[in-house]
Amino acid sequence: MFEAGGYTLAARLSQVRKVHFESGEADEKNAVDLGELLGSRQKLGRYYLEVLVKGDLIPVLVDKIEPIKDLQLAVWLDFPRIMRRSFNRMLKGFFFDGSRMISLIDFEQVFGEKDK
Amino acid sequence: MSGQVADQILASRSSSVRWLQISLGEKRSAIRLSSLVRVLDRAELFSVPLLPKEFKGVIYFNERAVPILSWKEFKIEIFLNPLVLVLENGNDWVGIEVESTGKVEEYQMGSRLREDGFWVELDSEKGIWGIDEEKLFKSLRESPI
Repeated sequence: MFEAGGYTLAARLSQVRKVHFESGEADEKNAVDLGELLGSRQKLGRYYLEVLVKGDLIPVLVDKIEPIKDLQLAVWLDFPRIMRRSFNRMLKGFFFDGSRMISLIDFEQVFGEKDK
Repeated sequence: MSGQVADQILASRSSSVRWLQISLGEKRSAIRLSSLVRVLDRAELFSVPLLPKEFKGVIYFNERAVPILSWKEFKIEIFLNPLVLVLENGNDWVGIEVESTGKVEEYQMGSRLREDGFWVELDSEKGIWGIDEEKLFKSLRESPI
């Protein structure tokens, strides 16, 4: 789980290879600012996720990282069909843990869409 | 003759619909009772990314993420702490914020009612406009991408 653009997000572990604090080893120039992608103007990003999409490692800048969490106890909520648009196809739905609405993001969809 | 009167009464009953009066800022309005799932006194609004402009967030209700309509997008301003009315159409649920609810009234429905977008004029003397949820949901589903 992580935060970007003021939102709490989650991604499947199979899509995340590594986490870096600050730029460090990450390829800063080619990094994608996830907060910006989600419409935020704040520049807070301090962590990099190395995201694996179709064999490529893509550095993604986020604001905060949380320890790996099993969200099996959270309630899974489908993305409301009436809110579905082409620009939010990367959001698969939400985990509700009693206090937070955690958006599940599919990085394949994020970068698949960008490539098109 | 009495049979004709009975037929007229039955016909008028079948075309009358029960509406719940609601306050929306300065607008006197109503929603069709049959579309109402629940009135919520308190509902925590969660901000989620990449929302279409017609929505301001989602609430958790009945194991669903229910989108809340952004009245600002429809030039309506709510002044008081709102109640949330969960409305249903097909498999879709949408929450609307209202300042208060009032009485349930029956209004005659017909093709001669004035319409304005998803609003339908229920009582021209009192200035009460109902939300035609069928049209509202249709417009939300068909919003430009």
